[in-house]
Amino acid sequence: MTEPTKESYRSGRGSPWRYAMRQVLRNRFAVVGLVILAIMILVAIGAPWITPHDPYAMDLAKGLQPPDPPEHLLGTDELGRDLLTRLIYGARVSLTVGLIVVGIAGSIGVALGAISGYYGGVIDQIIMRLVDVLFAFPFLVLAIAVVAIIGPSLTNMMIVLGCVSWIYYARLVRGQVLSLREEDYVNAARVIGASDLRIILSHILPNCLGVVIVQATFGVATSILSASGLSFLGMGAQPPTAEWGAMLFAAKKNLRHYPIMAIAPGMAIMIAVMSINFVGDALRDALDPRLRV
Amino acid sequence: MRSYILQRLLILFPLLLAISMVTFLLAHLAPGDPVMARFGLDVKRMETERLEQIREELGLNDPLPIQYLRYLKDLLRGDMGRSLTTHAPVSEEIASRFPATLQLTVASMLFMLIVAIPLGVISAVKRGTLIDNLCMGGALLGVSMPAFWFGIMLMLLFSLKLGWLPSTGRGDGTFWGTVKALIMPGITLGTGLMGLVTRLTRSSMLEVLGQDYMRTAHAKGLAPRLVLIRHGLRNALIPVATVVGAQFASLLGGTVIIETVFAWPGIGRLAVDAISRRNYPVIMGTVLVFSVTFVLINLLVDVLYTLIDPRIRYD
Repeated sequence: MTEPTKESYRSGRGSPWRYAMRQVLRNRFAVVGLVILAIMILVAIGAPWITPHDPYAMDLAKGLQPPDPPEHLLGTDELGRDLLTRLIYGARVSLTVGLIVVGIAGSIGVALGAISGYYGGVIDQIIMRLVDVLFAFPFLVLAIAVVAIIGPSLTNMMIVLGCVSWIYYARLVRGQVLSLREEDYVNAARVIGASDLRIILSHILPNCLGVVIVQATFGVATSILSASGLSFLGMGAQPPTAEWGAMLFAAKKNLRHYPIMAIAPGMAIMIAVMSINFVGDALRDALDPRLRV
Repeated sequence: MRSYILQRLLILFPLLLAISMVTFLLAHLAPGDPVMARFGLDVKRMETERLEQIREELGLNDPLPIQYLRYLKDLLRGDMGRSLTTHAPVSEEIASRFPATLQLTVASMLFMLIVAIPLGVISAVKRGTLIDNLCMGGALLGVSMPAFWFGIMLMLLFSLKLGWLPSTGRGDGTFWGTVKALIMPGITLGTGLMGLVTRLTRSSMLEVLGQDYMRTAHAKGLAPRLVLIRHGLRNALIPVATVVGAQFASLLGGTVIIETVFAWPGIGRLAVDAISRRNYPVIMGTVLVFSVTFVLINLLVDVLYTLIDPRIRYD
């Protein structure tokens, strides 16, 4: 593997981002992950055209049917809804949940982490003590308790998961900013009179982007896992929403005779999370070699 | 070393205070009237003056900081209020459930270490072979599965199909009964960590295998197995211990879901039951106990590191 030279950066052919992208695409597992994710996203978007069934149309007379191709490839659930259809529609919810939670956590975490690291002093102390306190709670326990109190729903679950997990981004970004703010180019920007906001947004944050992207990728995976756990406890998506964790919750009652109802949604979660982890591993190797495990 | 421990203990107090403040605020944010919670539907039959009198007696009309101080005072005496469903003191309910959770967490840790460390070492030694790929694939599955789903799958196979292991409960009280009852919940709880530790042991071992002292040990003719374990593994385990320690406390959080799957009578299940019945004193009590245990374990682990690896200094 050839390292990028100064010339290759300068010519634009090998910007660090392109170099990273090439490295990711050279990783077989990452490519497999990307392909699976692309298929999942396409299936989720095109759900109405892919499956002839309605994920919410109940037909009690046809409840709990074993797999019966081609009509019901995976059979039906206890309310007679086509299991595969619900799985496909469930991809919409579960993947979106992962992205939204990371969106919330990332925005809060990056903003507070950057402020904390850049300004230091009292602001830094306040934000970091808040982070310490949140770190003192077991993640899931806190999330479950808060959702229980503000009321279990898909929206509340996403908000709470986001508001509980921003601390990881805040610590990460703060650490980065602490070292970056001492860089010559940041001083140079300050000397020519750039505002703090401008320095943070256009000189410091772009240099933190790599580690944030890596963290966010793994964040999507863990958010999907946490969300499925919360939904499984009845704290997330409420019936009749087709969501993988909630489907597992519903499957528990019929475990002995209709195990497929439990096997299928779990497999879907596992495949999605594993694909994201494949991509995450490759991104980490490409963007943040220090974190390599 | 001593100053480090002292310093950590000093941070502990404000941290515990902050935890109690968060649980207090959570309880305060909870919907529903505490008077209603205490007296049930009788409240509807009460006159406004009587109701106001009760509120005054319970101190619900006091400013929030005063109420918090009272809550703190009760907490220090071990009083966490009474359960709305059983009317037993919350502290007693939690104390009676705590051993089950501790047992599950420790068993899970043991299962995890017994599986993950040998797998990591084998992977490193057989680097690039089919065995390595299989181990790493398995480790990746471990971190990518919802643990509770893996638990359900184990239950499906070993309880419902094969009938080898009990699907729920803590066993019949005998030693083997307990071990059998612990196998599935223990493995399930440690699934994610198992994957992580396997990967970490492998990479740490790979690093150690390339060190000069390993070559020296081989060169002076020591048995390969001895070199691997005494010179290799012992050094490779240091970074692993760091992660295992940091993650031990996080297993506690997982018990909330896993205990529900296996109907394991610990505080995780107590919390979930309390949540489904909106039993706020119990919810707050369990959150508090979980967090305090979490913080204390983390402190203990940090202190233990200095004993494992004298190179670690927290100055």
